[in-house]
Amino acid sequence: MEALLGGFAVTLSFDNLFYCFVGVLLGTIVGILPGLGPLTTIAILLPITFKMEVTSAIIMLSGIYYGVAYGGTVTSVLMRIPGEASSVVTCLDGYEMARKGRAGAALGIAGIGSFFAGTVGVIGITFLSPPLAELVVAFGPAEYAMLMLAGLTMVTYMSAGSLPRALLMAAFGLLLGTIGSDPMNMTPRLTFGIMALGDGVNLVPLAIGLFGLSEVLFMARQTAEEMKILPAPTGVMGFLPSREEARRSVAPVMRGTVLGFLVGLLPGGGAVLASFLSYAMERKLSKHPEEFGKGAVEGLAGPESANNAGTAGAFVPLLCMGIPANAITALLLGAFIIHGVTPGPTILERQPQIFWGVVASMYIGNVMLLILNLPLIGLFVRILQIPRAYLTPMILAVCLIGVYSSSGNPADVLIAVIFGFVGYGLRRHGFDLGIVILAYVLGPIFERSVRQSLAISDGDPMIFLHSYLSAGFAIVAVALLIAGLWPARKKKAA
Amino acid sequence: MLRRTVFKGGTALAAMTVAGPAIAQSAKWPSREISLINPNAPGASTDLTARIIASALEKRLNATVIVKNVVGGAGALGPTTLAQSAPDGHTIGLVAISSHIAVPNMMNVTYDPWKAFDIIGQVAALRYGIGARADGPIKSIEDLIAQGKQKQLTYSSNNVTNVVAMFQLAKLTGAKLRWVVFPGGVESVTAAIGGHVDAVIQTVTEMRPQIEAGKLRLLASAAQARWPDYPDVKTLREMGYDAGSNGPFGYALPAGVDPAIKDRLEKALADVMKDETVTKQISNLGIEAIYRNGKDYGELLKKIEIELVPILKETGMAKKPA
Repeated sequence: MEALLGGFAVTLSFDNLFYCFVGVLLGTIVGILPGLGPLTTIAILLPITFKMEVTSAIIMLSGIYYGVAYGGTVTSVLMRIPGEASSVVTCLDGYEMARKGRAGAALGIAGIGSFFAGTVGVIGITFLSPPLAELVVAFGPAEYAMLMLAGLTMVTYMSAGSLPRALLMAAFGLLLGTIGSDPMNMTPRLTFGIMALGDGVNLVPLAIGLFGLSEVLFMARQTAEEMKILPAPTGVMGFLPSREEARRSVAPVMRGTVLGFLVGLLPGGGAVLASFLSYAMERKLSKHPEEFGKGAVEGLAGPESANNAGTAGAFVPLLCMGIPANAITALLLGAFIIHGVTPGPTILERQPQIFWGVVASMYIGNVMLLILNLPLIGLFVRILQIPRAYLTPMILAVCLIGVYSSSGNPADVLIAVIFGFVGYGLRRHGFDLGIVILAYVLGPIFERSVRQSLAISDGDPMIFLHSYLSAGFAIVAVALLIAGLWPARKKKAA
Repeated sequence: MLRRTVFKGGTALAAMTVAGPAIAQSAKWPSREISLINPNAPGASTDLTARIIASALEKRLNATVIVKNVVGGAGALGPTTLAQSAPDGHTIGLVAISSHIAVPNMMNVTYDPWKAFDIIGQVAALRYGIGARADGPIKSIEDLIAQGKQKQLTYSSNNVTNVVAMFQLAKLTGAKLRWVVFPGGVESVTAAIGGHVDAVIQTVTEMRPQIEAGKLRLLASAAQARWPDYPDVKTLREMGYDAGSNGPFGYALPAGVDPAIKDRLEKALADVMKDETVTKQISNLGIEAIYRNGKDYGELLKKIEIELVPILKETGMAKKPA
């Protein structure tokens, strides 16, 4: 506790407050712009930090990272363009809320939920870091394989329509995930000699195509009459959720926070997985599962909290073990190392002021983000007052620029356009696109872990039950599958 | 293909009419920003090094040098883009084992690695080491070999470049060592300290935090020399095994750049590598800051190719002959 107060003393210097603010502001902006992700931004800013004091540098770069989880919501809710991969789920119900005229409330709930989850996540870092970091090491290939299997059974919970349709979409997502280099011997697979596919279909063009561009196509088909259906947002204070909305958000925010933090700890999973799992869980627990996909508050509040808590969770293995949970924390690790600081078990002994300074800055940064984001909501929702005839081409442009800026690869823009048409076709026939993304994200991790496990065990499948953790996840996966199929059967019987 | 040829012809024609003789071109160089193509993602050790080098080159060339992460095609997109870019001195790019040996031997690419580039120099080399879980049964390289003769052992690593030393060690001693591929270096190290695999071969950068924490035991340096941070740990060669992994990287121009420009770039890079603040920043990454000129670096890559190609074939990674 004393150490944390020392950390606040570090952060509350004028310089560090300034860098913290710059970081979260940039994070918000980057989050709002689709495609341009935290990875690119942090990489570009890295050389600038060479001359800065190390704590200030890390405070600023971290601010960008967790700030993004706030900003990513905006375009998902207003335009159905996932600003970040972890905001894909928000497109499902957040956008539908906006279509019902609740855009302000959706952003408000997301903002407050994000603040709550972000802050609780930092409290988690403060008190639980060392023991949780040990847990991360216990995850080997077999444990991952079973965890991903459990994640994949979530498909049965995410579908609005029939189970066969959900499975078809899951198969489609898995197939997309197999494109690229074989995870073991690196030989190109299903690339048809096209170099752009050598690393597979990237998530950004896929998500923006399926969600953003398909929506543009839908809008293009609407008549002038239909376009007016979207109600104008309410006044400046319209971000306040109604009593009913607030009441229904509380439990999902709590659950999303805990789930997000735990999943965020694990390398490879992170915020994307956390948001999907939260969505699936809320749908299963909801008293109104039929509202999901049509603007259910729970489907927004849970995942939005989960992705912020997941962002915080990723800091635990980074700071305590020197293990980055994803590409962005890997870059932060690089930033630490360039500045001559080695994150890991020794950081608390050798450089406690850096550790606690960064943690303290995250408390302050989250408050800054809340103050920064809530007043802006009034401004953001006015975007919806732009006539659709002008808004639609703008969305199209934002999508395409976003895809291009994510990788700088023109082929990705083409891929996004293709998936725009694919997404349009699938949605017209009532298929659920969230499942495609879920299977696409989890499938490759599952495949790789299974193959690693079997290489270790010399082909013996018992390795998947070798530890309590992997056996536990295997049981959870089976239980989830049975529970997921149960009600469907009952309905048929009735 | 045809379109590219036409395009290139067009550029050449434009260059002749507009820029005039080559001397004029080199006098004007650099006339705009210089792009440095890196085929790895932001945050990779090559990327961090590139950013250090880029900002040091800026002062010497009086031009903006931007790092472009051209990531994709399983590492093929970066060198392919470099090979196809205009040879006007405004594009340079990373060349390493991946661009010259691994990628061309594993997939069909449109460039010939030994003809498409003019190498300007090497800036760094990754330093490899073999490690095992600190409280595990393997305490030394001798343990690793002895136990590998009893039963199948596994080790983690994320890249075919890294594992050369392990393949050589297995061949020399007859120990059964199986490579389990992990997606990243830190994941490999984590798998070893978690006891999921028996050993790991990765770079200093990835292993050091866990060695310092006492969770990972460094068994041997798999590089050409001992690690400066752990001077007591011997190299494999010092232990009597003729094995080692190489991880050099440096930069090249697309072939056909005005020799005067190439000369200035090569000198600027050599000067950068004499700058102690630069070499110290690179060493901080756990990478060896080592300079070779273009010619010597090209010869080093040729030498490594002879070691690596048989391993690519053995692991099934080499492309099938067309």
